Amino acid sequence: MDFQIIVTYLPFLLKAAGMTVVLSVLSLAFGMAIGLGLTFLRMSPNRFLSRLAWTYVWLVRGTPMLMQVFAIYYWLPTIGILMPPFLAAIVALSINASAYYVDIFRAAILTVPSGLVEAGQAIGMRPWQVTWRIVLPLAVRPALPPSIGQAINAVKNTSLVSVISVQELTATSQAIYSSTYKIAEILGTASLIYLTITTVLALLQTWLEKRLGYYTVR
Amino acid sequence: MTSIIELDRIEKRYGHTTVLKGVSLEVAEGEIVAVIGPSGAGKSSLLRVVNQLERHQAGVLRIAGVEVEPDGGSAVHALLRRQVGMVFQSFNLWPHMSALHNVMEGPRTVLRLPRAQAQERADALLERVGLGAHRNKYPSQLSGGQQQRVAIARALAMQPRVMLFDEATSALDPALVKDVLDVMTALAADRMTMLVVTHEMRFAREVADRIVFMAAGEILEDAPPRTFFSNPRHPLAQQFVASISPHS
Repeated sequence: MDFQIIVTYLPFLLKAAGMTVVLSVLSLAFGMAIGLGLTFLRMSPNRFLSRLAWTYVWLVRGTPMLMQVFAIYYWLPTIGILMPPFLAAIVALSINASAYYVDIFRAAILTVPSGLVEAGQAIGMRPWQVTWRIVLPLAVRPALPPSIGQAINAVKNTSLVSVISVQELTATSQAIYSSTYKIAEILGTASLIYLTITTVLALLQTWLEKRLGYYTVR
Repeated sequence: MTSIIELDRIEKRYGHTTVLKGVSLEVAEGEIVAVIGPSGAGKSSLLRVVNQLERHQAGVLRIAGVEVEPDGGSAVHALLRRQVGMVFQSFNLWPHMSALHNVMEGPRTVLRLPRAQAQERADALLERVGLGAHRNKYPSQLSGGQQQRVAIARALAMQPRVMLFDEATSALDPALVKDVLDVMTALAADRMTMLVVTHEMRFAREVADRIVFMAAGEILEDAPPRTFFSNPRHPLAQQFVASISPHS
């Protein structure tokens, strides 16, 4: 083990990790927002809208993320949609995450007992009021563990946009080991940095689960 | 007296099963009507058609003289439901809100009352159902009887013209039934119009003005309690009365 090489290159790796965090945070924010919108379509009584959302989920989940990144960065320009690598990365990561969030949110919403929905309707709430005041707040807790799981996947998925030269942790690591040949040191350090980021998410889950324990018996 | 609830030959089907076979019923302002009968008689369906949690396929429903179309849309149904309070068998309190916020929710979200005014109303109602001291507790911290009384307060907070009770005490520990029935009896004494599906025969006998006996999707008898319990006419009603009151 060459620890000197790690010390030398650690600042570069940490800077790249910053890019990984930025990619993760933005794609998760967009992915969850798009995912929630698609969840409403997926659960809509309108069969066309529901099938549209189903098809999106089927297509995005059913194809490799790497292909999606290539499609957005190399193929979309052929039909006139040109994006710089960073933007293409955000778009690809957000689309990918959103497809997974649809079923996470849908499953969580389905756990809300219909009696609680009816109680809202019975006092004269409109459908959107029932959704925002009752269904979504109650779906947060069941959605939390799989949402964090998917967020952890999303962090690791950012490594795939290294192929379109976004200088995140994996791309930077590759650049360093291809000139130094210290593969174990550099990729080992990068892995530890990924593990640190995902650990934050895991701890966030534990903390939120405790905070959201309001409707378990105390 | 004017009819608050008017059902005219209401039919309700689930697939091929007809649960309400042309039911007609009128409930006047200030009247307390108990709906009794064996399980599967259509009692709950009848109640749920009144506030359109279930839609009827035929017949006419009028609330306070206004016809309610089953396909009238969510805005129309929401307006109807403001006038019709409902208490469910399984309480259905929102677990993420305290007792106070459960009661405030309707005034705040539906009636758009200012917070102070909504809270004042909610506090007064919780006091009235004997739960002033528990206002900040969550449903999971309350007994079934307490939860059901919060649910009654929640329905009353909309100041409805009529209250529907769908087997409000059936899910309760026998020891807790009395507190809920006391609240219902007090409401009746205030002449709140009530349509009460119940298995509590004593309550039906002592509090209701009329007994509506249902079986197999039909109203077979509609009579004052004294008449109904002492002299049921329909064979099924006779059978029912005999089975529930072996001692009287």
